[in-house]
Amino acid sequence: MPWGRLRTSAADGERVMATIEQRRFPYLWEVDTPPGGEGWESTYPYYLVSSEETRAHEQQLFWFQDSMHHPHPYFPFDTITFEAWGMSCGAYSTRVFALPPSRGLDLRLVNGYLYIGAVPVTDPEEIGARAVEFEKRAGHYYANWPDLFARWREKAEAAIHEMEAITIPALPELEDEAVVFEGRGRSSAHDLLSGYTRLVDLFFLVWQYHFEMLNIGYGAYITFFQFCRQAFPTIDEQTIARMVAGIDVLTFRPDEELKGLARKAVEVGVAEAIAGAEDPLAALATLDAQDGGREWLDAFEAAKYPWFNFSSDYGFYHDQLSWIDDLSIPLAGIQGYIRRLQRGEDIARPTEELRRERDRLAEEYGSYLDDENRAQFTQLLELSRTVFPFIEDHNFYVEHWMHTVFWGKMRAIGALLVERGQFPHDDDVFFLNRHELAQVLYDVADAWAVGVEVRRPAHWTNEVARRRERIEALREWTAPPALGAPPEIVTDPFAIMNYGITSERVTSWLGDEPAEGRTSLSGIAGSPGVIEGPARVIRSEKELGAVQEGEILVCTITAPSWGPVFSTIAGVVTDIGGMMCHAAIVCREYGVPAVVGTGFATQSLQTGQRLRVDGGTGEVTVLA
Amino acid sequence: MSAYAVAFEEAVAREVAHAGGKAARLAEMEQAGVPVPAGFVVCADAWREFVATGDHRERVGAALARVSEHSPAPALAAAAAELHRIVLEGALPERLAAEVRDAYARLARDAGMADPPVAVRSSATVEDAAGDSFAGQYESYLWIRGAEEVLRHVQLCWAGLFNAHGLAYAARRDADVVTGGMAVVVQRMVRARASGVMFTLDPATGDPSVVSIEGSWGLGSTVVGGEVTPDQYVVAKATMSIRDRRVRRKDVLDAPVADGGTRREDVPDDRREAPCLSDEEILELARIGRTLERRYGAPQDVEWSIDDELGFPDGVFVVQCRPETVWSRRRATPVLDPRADALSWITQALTKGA
Repeated sequence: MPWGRLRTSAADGERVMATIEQRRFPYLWEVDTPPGGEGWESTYPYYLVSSEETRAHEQQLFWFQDSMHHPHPYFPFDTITFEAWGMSCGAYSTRVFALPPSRGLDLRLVNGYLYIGAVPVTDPEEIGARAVEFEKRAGHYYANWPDLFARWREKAEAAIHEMEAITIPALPELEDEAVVFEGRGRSSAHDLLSGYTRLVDLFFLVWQYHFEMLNIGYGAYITFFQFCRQAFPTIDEQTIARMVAGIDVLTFRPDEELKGLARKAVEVGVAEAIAGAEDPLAALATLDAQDGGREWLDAFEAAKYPWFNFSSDYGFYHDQLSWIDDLSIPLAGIQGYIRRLQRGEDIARPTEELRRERDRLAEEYGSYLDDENRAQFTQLLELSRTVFPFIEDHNFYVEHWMHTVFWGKMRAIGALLVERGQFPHDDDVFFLNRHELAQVLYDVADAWAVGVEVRRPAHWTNEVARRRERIEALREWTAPPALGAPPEIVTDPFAIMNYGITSERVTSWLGDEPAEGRTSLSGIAGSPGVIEGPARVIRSEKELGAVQEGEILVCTITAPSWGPVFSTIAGVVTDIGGMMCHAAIVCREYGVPAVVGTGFATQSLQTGQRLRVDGGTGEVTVLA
Repeated sequence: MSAYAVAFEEAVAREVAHAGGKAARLAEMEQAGVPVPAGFVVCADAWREFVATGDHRERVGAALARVSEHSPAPALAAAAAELHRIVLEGALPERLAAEVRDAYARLARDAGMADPPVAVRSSATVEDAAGDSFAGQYESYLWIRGAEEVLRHVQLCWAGLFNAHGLAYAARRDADVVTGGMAVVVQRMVRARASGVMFTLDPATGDPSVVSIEGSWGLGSTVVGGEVTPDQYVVAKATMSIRDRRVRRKDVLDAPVADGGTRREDVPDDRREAPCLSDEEILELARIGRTLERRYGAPQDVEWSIDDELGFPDGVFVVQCRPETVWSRRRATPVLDPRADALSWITQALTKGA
């Protein structure tokens, strides 16, 4: 059913009104499940699934799908990622800083896809009371931001190092003698269970850190943003972002390492051995024997930690590998940079130019204002620039570095379960939710300790096989961009900044539907410039290899770790994303025109179509 | 030495006392490298010289003495008619007429054509002062050809001092119209393919970060007079990017006719819905607007024309520039509560939503 055609008949108990026709999306419980996907609900923790008991609450909220971070149906275990951020984001908004108008984001799965419902505070009295607390609490952070951020880095690194140190024991026939002679007093069964528990604990802990400074950081930026919008009603969002954006941002560091390795390869004379190799991984093995090869390999090793702990996507699914897990990803990037160096191109980020341009824009806009307003402008700009390094850098620590370590440990648990005869496949572990896995791990540890077989291998193996098929079936479903009745105006600042969910966008989704043969799409102007070129539609990062130089990348999302791709493509069009989404930030850096948040680009456009992308107006036109 | 007709390039053309506000501005723009059509100024001294000739002074004085700011409309009209007669029928001093003829001949030589069409406009010392906007109160004659026609229109401009409305205004302002006088600008006409106006802010919102351009085909009269809904282009000053582009249907244009004057025509079908400016022209205009605003230190209201034959960028001309008055006169209000601190601004911003 086209999303815009649903009607709600509203009659509130007291005043029975004439039938109001309101355009809305289906409610959570009105959505059909694709054939083969039935029973998906039973796979997930109960609190993530809509039920009769929660409908009244769910009907109050507007649910949007974050296909930027969560584009696929969820593996049961992987829900830990959004559970961790949902709890953290909620706690900081609702309980720690008392954001005046917002509680947290309530989360639901629908056909395995994640939907997010922002919970507003609407009672003016409560907003006022929260404002008093907010100013006291957030004020402390704004006043001490650089110190708190320095402490934040220490805390985050300590937790990540602790996670790195967790070992998943092998469960041998007999415990190592050391257990005896060192008098350890505990067995591998206990170490396995406590290792898993600690892994999950640390995962939640680092996610607590993630939002410690994020929401209030956004708060400062949004205030500057609104100031600019009011003082300069015509200003575009990307110009505001460019005045604030940092230059030495961690997100770009891994890509910088690849550039450095490309330069090094040219310098020590192994450029052709790497760039010319059909299989660069195999080429690595031969480098040692070449002049300069050892030196380059040492540099390659040195670059890995921590920078290759970099997810090839956003890291919210266990199967999104990081560079360190699949070295062919960074090696492909290095190959590309070597080729560009060989063509005589400059691959350096023009940091000085970016810095100059950032300061010139700020000075220029400040010059349009009278003294009083310029003072306000400057104060908010400085605060935004103070908080922005956190906004830009936290992802590397949490989603990239910590997640990479976490998924690595989880894969080790998966392998152990196969070894213990619990499952046939290494990735079967991810088809249990984390509460179920706690039981299965207990069984495995206890069975090993007692000296018997695991109790129900067939039950769980069959269940996992069913779940595997079900998720495949759910992948065929096209998740609507939103569910429920949209609010008159979207006010949640984070939904707007991060996801590009604006009233205008929601209206266009309602009036729109995906259709092949469309000749135009509109979205948010993410990165300036107008470009024409052939489309390359990709639906997952695994298809990135097909992207050719000069093409316009059409995708649901882009991830910062696609860095090398950004230097060859001509433009980007995404389904979801706002001005501050990673795609827009990276495209502005690389000078690649981008239109983000079109809703339906990957469903409406086809590879090979000639597109015109106007990153200034947000228009995408199919030329042929 | 008194000079009656001076080219824009000459220093004296920049002095408001001699050249009047409008001409002084054109001369200053010309000297600052802003592209204005070539021209010269018939200075206020020329008017004073004319008044000093024969019995002009006595007759003008007598007619003015009969009215005041409070005179009824019929009395003002009668005085205006008498004053017009004096100015239009009076003989021009010979040296003055010769200087104007010479200046026009130089214009013709530089243009490489006989009798180049010119605009003849009044340039009064009381007009255009920052804070006053009386566009249209004074005279403007377009597509004038030949030295004798130029001279006749100089006199028409002088006479414009005494139209009924101007008379009341002058009386109210206590400006001595006789001694303060009136200069006249004579300026090459642009063979306008497109014309319009430009503000160095957004006239709708007062946004100071953009240049707002309105334009249509042909001469600017259709835009200024509201005869067409013009194309609108908005350019961000800091990034020099076109932020908004509204191309409108433009049905009529004003074109010059051979014997002077202008004629209203239908816009050819294939041009009606086409943009009247190319992107490079839009950006060049915005750049010029920015230069003017910086030079004068305040938002400007600019009239421009694109010459049909000179090509880009030679054909982009500013034909008039004056201070923007609507937003400039408003006291800027603080965007955020000046009594609150940044923390309260954040609270308010979050509460309001984005």
